Amino acid sequence: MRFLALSARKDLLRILRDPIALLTWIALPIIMNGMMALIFREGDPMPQGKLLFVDQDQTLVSGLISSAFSREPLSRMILVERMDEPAARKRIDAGDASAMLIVPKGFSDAFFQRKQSTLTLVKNPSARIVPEMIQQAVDIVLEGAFYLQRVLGPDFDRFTSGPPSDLAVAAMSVRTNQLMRQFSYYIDPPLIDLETKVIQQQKKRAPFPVLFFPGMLMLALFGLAVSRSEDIWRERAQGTLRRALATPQNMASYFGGKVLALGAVTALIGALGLVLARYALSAEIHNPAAALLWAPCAGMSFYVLNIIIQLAASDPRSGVMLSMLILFICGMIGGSFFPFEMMPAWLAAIGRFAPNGWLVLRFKEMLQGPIDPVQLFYAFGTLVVLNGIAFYLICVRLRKWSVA
Amino acid sequence: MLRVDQLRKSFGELTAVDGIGLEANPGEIYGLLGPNGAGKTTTLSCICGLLTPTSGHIWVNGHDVVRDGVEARRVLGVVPQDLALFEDLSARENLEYWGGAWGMRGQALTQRTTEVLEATGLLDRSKEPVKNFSGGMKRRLNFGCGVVHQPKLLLLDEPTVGVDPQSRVRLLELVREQARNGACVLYTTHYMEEAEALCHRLAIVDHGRIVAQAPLAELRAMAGERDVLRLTGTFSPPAVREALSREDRLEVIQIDETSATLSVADASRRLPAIFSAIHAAGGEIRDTVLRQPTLESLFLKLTGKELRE
Repeated sequence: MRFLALSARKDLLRILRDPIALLTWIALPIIMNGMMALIFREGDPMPQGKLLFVDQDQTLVSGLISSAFSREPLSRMILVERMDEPAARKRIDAGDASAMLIVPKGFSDAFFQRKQSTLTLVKNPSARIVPEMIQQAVDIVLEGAFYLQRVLGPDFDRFTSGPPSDLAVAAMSVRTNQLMRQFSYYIDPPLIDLETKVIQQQKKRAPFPVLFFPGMLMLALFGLAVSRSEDIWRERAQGTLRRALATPQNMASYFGGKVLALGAVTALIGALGLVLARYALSAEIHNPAAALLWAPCAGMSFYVLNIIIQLAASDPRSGVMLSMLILFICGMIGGSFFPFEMMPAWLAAIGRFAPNGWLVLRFKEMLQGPIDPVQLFYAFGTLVVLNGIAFYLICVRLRKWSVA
Repeated sequence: MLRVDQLRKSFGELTAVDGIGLEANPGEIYGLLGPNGAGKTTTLSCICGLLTPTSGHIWVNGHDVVRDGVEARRVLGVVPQDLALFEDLSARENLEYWGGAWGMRGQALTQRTTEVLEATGLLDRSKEPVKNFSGGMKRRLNFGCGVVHQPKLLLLDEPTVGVDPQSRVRLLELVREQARNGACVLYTTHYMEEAEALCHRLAIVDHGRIVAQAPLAELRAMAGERDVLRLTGTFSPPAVREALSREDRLEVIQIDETSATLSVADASRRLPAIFSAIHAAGGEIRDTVLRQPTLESLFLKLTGKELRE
């Protein structure tokens, strides 16, 4: 036990004496996470655009059209800028707006006199969603105007020949009241029964940096484990492994020290990662204790896995190549480079069984919500059993490998 | 302290050690002398438990290294040929780690580490990472790591390979000091002069076998009987053998078409007669080397080849 602690201390010192390698594997996922977050930036989900409104009519009716865009939810998506036609054309030609709408002079008169008039809508071809929305909004406004003309057309005529008399206003009020009574049969209560089904609210997807965090942390631990596993070749070449075998101690203590040292470093990285995630990314961490423990367990598992790879390789170069290859493949399919949520379903299904995929998923479960203690026991138990078997096999193999 | 009986170690078809037997006592420096590939390192690896013997037995301090390896290794110190050091740790950290591996701890370990650092001349640089050390300093530290726990049996595998003369003298003195303090030292080397200067007893090893084993004085006496004459040129081996068989106190150690090695008493006086005999047998001598009796000439006499071949 004492030699185990001694070996762990020795390897911990050795890891800390090579801070560049350590920082590289910590910084790399942070940089990658930042870049991914920038690439897949997810702010307000609503598209935003500008409508250049050229009001050549300057009447109540043209004002009503522009005010249609100032109501929710259009007002959150479309910013209306009023200007004259030359300035608006210059802006739309430069691609500096989503669309330009021209209300021609005399549009209001044409509306009341039920004459034809043309609104001009120029859309920016480089944008797709917002111009379409503007067109649909204009169509709705015009359709509404059409029905208003049909219902109240005769009354509009009284307004076109100058200010109406008191009698005309009263008659119009009576007619409007009658119309409302007629319509109320259809709309109050509505003749069509609407059945309202509340679909279970879809779980809100976490922001991208939070989504990337578990996979990236596991990638950092995997990378660090790859980098440290190469050291076994150096120890073999230098003869320290053979010297250790010539001591009265056993290989399990010697190798166990290495595993524990890496566990200590990965625990530190995991803790830093969780603090960063909580306070810099505002991520929710529901099971901090389990997550804190999971990071070193995952780090040690990655290390054991990579030692197996090194022992299977014929020389240091092929060992490192093989480890890196597995790191990248597992990183790609195991939810580290891209979260499972962004992967095709079939690939994600495979990736869940990759070593880091399994570790990432369990880690996510610990972060994201309440977790059944049995499930926790199962996760940690699986790790202990698998690593225990691998550890035993490594110790047996390491003895022969050291003197080969 | 150390007893090796009929040790044999094979790697597939290759037999690296073939029936080696030796015994070494406390306070004694026992040398294993032989060329590279003779089986010295394999023998040491078997003694310290790195390799399992194919057959034979090894006892260290009364413990069988195969059956009771842990107890055997408790009294063992190893200075391997490689620089078995953690280069990113300091000299003190290396010594403390290896001392700890043999169960030392606390004040005793700290004190002993300081003693070893002083003895190896590394005390003033004890906190520096080993990677900054020169080759000679690393060799001394490598030695220090093998003796920090004061072993009863010290195995040294060519500890002076690639060492500057100053460090070599210092290392040899450290080895003597271990023996003076009662340790049994098994020292492998292919440097004849080192073996002559250091060892009380020697075994000459070739092709995994001990070809001679005796105290240094006896070996010197064996070597002193005859000179070794090495000839190069063109020879007809059967004819030359036949011609030289008539010469008194002369033995043909080795002969082929281009070289011949002879063990000859009083060779300098008899050179003309030997040359005439070879000439008469159709041989042509182009180069002659006459060696006075030394361990090296003994090795040549016993194995038919130079130690450094």
